[in-house]
Amino acid sequence: MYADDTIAAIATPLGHGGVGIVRLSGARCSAIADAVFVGRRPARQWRTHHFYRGRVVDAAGAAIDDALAVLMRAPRSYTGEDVVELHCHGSPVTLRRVLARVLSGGARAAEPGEFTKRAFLNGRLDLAQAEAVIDLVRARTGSAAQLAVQQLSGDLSAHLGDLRAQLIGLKALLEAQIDFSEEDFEVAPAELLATLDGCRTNVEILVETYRCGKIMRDGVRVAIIGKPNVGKSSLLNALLGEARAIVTPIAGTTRDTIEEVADFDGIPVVLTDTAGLRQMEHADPVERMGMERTTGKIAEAHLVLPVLDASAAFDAEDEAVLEAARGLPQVLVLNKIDLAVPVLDIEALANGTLAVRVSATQRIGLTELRHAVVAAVTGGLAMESHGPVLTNVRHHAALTQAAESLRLARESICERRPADLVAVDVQDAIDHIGAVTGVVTSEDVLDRIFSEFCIGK
Amino acid sequence: MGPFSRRFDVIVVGAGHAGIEAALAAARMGCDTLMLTLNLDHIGQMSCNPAIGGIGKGHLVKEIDALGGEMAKAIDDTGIQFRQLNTRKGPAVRASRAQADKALYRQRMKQRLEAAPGLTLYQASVERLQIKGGEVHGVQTQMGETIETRTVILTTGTFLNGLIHIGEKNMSAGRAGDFASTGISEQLAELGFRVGRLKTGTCPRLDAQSIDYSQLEIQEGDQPPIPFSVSTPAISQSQIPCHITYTNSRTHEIIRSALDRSPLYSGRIQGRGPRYCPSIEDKVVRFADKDRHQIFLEPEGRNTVEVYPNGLSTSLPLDVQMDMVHSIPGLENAAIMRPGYAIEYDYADPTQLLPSLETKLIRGLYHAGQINGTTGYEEAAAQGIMAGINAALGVRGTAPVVLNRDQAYIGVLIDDLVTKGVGGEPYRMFTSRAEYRLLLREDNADIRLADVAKQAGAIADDEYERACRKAELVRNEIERFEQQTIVPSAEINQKLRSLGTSEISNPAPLAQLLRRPELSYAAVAGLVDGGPTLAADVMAQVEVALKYSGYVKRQHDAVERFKRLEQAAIPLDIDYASVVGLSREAREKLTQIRPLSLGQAARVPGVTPAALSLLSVHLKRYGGR
Repeated sequence: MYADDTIAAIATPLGHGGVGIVRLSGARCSAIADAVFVGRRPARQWRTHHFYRGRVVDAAGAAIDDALAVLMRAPRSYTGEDVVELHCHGSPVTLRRVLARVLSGGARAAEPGEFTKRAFLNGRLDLAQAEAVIDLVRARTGSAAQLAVQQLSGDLSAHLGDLRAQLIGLKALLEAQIDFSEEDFEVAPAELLATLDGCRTNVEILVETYRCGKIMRDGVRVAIIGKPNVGKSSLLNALLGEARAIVTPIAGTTRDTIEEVADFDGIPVVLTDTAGLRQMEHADPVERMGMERTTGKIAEAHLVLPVLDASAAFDAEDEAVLEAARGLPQVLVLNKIDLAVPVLDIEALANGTLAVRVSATQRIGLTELRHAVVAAVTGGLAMESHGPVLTNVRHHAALTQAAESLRLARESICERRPADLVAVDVQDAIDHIGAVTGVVTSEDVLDRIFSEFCIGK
Repeated sequence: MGPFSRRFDVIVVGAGHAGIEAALAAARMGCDTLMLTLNLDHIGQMSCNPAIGGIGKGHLVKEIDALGGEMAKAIDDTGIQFRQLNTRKGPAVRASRAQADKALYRQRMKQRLEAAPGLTLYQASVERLQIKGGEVHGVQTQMGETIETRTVILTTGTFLNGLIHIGEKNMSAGRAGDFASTGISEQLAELGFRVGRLKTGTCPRLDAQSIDYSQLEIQEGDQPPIPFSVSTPAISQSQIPCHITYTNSRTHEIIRSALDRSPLYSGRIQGRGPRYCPSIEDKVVRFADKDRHQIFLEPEGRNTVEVYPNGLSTSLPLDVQMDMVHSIPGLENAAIMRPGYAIEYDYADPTQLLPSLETKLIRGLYHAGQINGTTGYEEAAAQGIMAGINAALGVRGTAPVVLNRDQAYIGVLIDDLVTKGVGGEPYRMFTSRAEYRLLLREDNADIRLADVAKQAGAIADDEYERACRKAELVRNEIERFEQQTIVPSAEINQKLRSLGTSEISNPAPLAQLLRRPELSYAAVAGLVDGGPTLAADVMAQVEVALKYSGYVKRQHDAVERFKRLEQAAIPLDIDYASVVGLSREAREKLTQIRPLSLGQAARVPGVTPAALSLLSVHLKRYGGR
């Protein structure tokens, strides 16, 4: 039975920290808290949203940790159910013991994303908000987190709700013309178009924000390429040194290519150092493998940074590097400008793309380089937006379809096609917009979303 | 002791539009069927306006026809004026409507019922249902007779506790001139049915001899008239025109000054009336800025002078009705032959029905028509035929026919009723209720429903083959239009110019020309030898398939998007208490409605997408146990 099903998980990252939290949600929260937490008052008598000090104890009554406990009673809690949080000392060992104690006290270990799932199921969050939680948890820069928080607060949902209501009004006018045609009911096309165009502009603006939103949320992959010893690794370290991202190295990196995340003006940038590129005929088999990997990294990258050595002559190997980058979005980097008066005409080599002179070791030109990277990936788009910003590929797909439906509806009205056909496209637009917040659901969406959540959130 | 020694398969209580289709369908499907009516002379009575069809309703009539029903054939035989509505509003919402000769229509229906093999008619008032172990076993009449049966279909219309209002007067009646029936609705309430109260109304009837038609707008029927039924080759009888007049500010003043004597406004009427079929006093109050309302003067038949002033439904006192009528152009001296009135009646909450129209509370008991809170002859007949088919299938022990929302307006109608109920006002069909409207057209009703009807045994082999042949004609003609090209010539380009479209310089397939917004099927077919020779409904299908293929595809896409929800079956005996996480409201609603699919569950008011996802997960995990 659901009433007995109370879940628990460690809600903070497993590392050493000042505070670590074990969170419970479900009807039996306070009963379990009574069993595992000894304070001055039993949990049943706690005031909602108030902290109580006490000890988490094992079955024999021995203290596991000194802790603060808070009970948030339904429905004024994250999940909409009774929620208890035990704020313990942030040691992984302690937190695991506290969790084990809570589980032996009758809670069940939460599945990934289950707290948020419950919040959604209890109507505390709509679908777009629930998705924002995933983004917030995974945000790698302040700006990305900011966007997620905005979506979580319901900005996007409210905006879409308003657009949808307007379109439903428009549809009602169309339907009235059809179903009450015997009663002299006519609406001028201009009146229909005014509403339609207003909605369409709004949807299109939202769709456009995805280009920035996606960059903000997912970041961009930047590959540093160049022949051996042009200073690729120093450049990577220099860039990271100034703007190391919140997250530590990404799992799965190989010894040959190193990936790190940096924060460039709020954009998470995944920097990849690659094995040196040289002409294939001079390479040994090991180098060849490294170079093949490099080619793969170049293909994955949103942007490449071909690096040239200002202190050395431009040679055939440099030529090969520029060749590999040809046609790709790039910022050409002339490194080691502190060692020599540059002889290379880097602007000519850049051939219209951005070019920057730097010294990785002397930290010269790094700010310019970061700006150049940002400019190249955003294409000059303003990354600050006053309205909601789309960050989710599902939302983008749905609203792109909505915009297309509205375009078709407009075309139909202008060509004076019958009202029943116009209504088809308007209804499609209404459905696609509704799909974002989950007003309109088709079956596969939900499972997919919740499979992405991490535990305890 | 009863008048019959045998046990019937199906008893139909009521002989209105629902009862007729129910009884004929059950008898056609081989059931020993008994129809009970209060008055054998009032079979198929049109208690309100003398017309069949209309926007959304014409679609229902065509579907009833496709399921082997009688309504379309009867109106084809007895109609006095035929019109196609909404011809400029698009292919999906074109609708047929016909004025009926009421007396002829009744007669024709009675003859048809009398001649139907396996159907017995008997005049009696049913007082109680006999129920044993949650199953219906028979009926008991007012005279104390008992008749045994396996199934009962209640089609009691406005007769349950009917109460007529005219001004400050009211009287118990099923409709003007007929007794009300009280026993059944009391018993339904005892059995646990939620019985509510609805209201509807009708117009005063006028004497044509006292109407001055000379100044009025004439509304003629279409030439040639297009029949409703696929089995009617052509309408052979002559047509009679209707006339149009309008109310004016004086009419509205008369009505306003008498509102305190209106049972609608004095609070005497409890039940709510339909917003979309309002009384004239409602219209005057709610649309105060409108300075006139349209009134159609519809003859009630060829051999009567009675005229139905459509738009003048009222329950005002008789003296006000007279003043009001006399203030209208053409009606200055009109004599009222029957007063208008409002009627309140009981209905049983249709969310207590399964999609088969069998009640959830009593096995073998079906409800159809106004007892379910609907209004309209067509809505009633549509439920009647489904109840008749499903009662017959139930007697055979076979699964019921449930039409989907992408399959028929009848599917939309019944799904709305059993999933959402009627929300306190009589339910009428509109095309906007059908989300897949472009697929549910009048022209393809027979093709859409042929397989279902055949499988259920509701139509004969030759009727089925006719639908198949028509589908083939459509396919062939679409193919011809895609393959046959038209070669540019001075003559062809001259024709194209005269049709208001641009010339061609290269050979073009006919289909390509048809996609031009300004060209119709007939125009394109007329460019080549032979011209258009196919029936109107075949032409319409070709036109929609080619001209609006993009829209049709988008509707099919929408059907596909929701198909997995619609096809995810929920077992009837699912225990919603075992579905983890469901909110109390969702659980109560689902337990009450007992939807058959996730799609239907999604439409239950109060069931959120979140609840739906829980249910979906539960079904996958436990298969509904």
